[in-house]
Amino acid sequence: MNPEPEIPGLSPERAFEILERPELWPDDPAAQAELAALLELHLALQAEGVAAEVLDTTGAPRPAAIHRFPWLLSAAAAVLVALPLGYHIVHSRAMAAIAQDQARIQEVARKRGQDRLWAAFFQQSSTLIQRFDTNRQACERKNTEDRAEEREIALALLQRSHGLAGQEAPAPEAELVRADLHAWLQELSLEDPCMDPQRAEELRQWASTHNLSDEAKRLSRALKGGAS
Amino acid sequence: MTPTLLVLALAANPGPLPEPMPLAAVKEDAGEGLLREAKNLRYSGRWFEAAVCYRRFLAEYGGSTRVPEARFWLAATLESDQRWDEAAAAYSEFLDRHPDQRQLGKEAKLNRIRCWGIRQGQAPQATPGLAAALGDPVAEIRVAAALQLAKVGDARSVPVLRQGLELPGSADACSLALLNLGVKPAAVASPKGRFLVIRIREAGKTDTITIRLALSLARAVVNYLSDAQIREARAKGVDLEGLTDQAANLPKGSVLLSVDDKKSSVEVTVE
Repeated sequence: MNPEPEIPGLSPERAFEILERPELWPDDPAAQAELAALLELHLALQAEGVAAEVLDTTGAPRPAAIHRFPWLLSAAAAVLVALPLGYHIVHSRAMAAIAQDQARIQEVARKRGQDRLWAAFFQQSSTLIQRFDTNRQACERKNTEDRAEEREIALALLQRSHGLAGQEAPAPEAELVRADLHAWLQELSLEDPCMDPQRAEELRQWASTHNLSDEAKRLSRALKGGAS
Repeated sequence: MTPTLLVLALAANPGPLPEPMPLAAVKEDAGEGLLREAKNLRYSGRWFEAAVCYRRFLAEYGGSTRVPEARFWLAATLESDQRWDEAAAAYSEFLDRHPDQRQLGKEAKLNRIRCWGIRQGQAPQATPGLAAALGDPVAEIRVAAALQLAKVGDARSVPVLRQGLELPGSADACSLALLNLGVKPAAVASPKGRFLVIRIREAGKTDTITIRLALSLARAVVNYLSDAQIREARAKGVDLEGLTDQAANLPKGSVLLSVDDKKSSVEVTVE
């Protein structure tokens, strides 16, 4: 037995939808006949339903509830459930995408900040070494070179270097060059501001042998490129 | 001239002989020579031999005024040779024996922190040493220890890192370390209750990303800007170094800067 009415060219849902609106019925006579029969049955059941309700008030046993359009109610219920759920899913996805973008931007900013810190250290160290190489002012003390300013800069850079040693290096090579620069800065910062020319020459030689200035400059450029 | 003839010639014309050097001076000279040799070896990266020289100097010239220096450079040489545990022990010995050496002492503490930092979780004294350094009277040393502990996610570093946000030379490093620990780098709140809001709109995206920064961290704003955006801001006359002061003096809701490049547009407001 098939519980659903079969009407040519119409789905059962559509048939129920237009059942009480004959102006929407299809032109097909067979379909119209089927719909008319269905409408008759529907009206009869409706009348019986009203009678049953009257009986119910008198204490007679209540017949099974007859729903006029059970599929419509189901659809409405589905829509009521699906709409907020759908909104929630779409909203959650949008929020997750924003959170992901925010995390990515924060990570980019963190990496950029780190690279710029290292790049600035390398740049300033390179400048200091060049300055130490070319600037040979005499100190007030006889036969000594005035290295007071370079020594101050070395002290400040040494402090930065200690800070960088506490951080993850942007590349293993960067850490190696930092350690070399650190050793050189340490030597300079521990020297007398009026430096013995022989000692100054030693430090120049050391920087030159290890190519410290060029290495620092190269890494500074590389990191600046990555941080842009 | 044969040796016999030379002796005869000297005997015939003795002349003034140089005065013999006092034994102490000879010894001092020999010590200096050893230190010089150690330094030259160090400069040429021959760390192992340099360390041997310094050890020999310490063994043979224990009474020299240059012992503290030698002890420091021995530790530094071991550090350069990546013998971290030996270096940390040598720095500790230097600090124990020469507590009066101020400048070398600070360097020794900072270098020892680096050695311990590398050996965290491997050498038994490393982590307790770093934890103890969090209580050092010198802020720079506390911060250095906190940065090393933060590397392995040790939460004991957080209070010191927060203090470090107030130190000009350490603020950036501490801020990054806190971010790596997953802690918002919030320093002491602004007296005016202000903060900066960075709104970033990336090309091809509909949503604007909003990031809030404490006023004391205004310097970090530049990390959200590309080099091109920094140039644009400077061209517009924005003082990126003095953002904190500017933000503190502007009324709430003011736009501090607004810059664009191909990838994004960034607006920073005071709120």
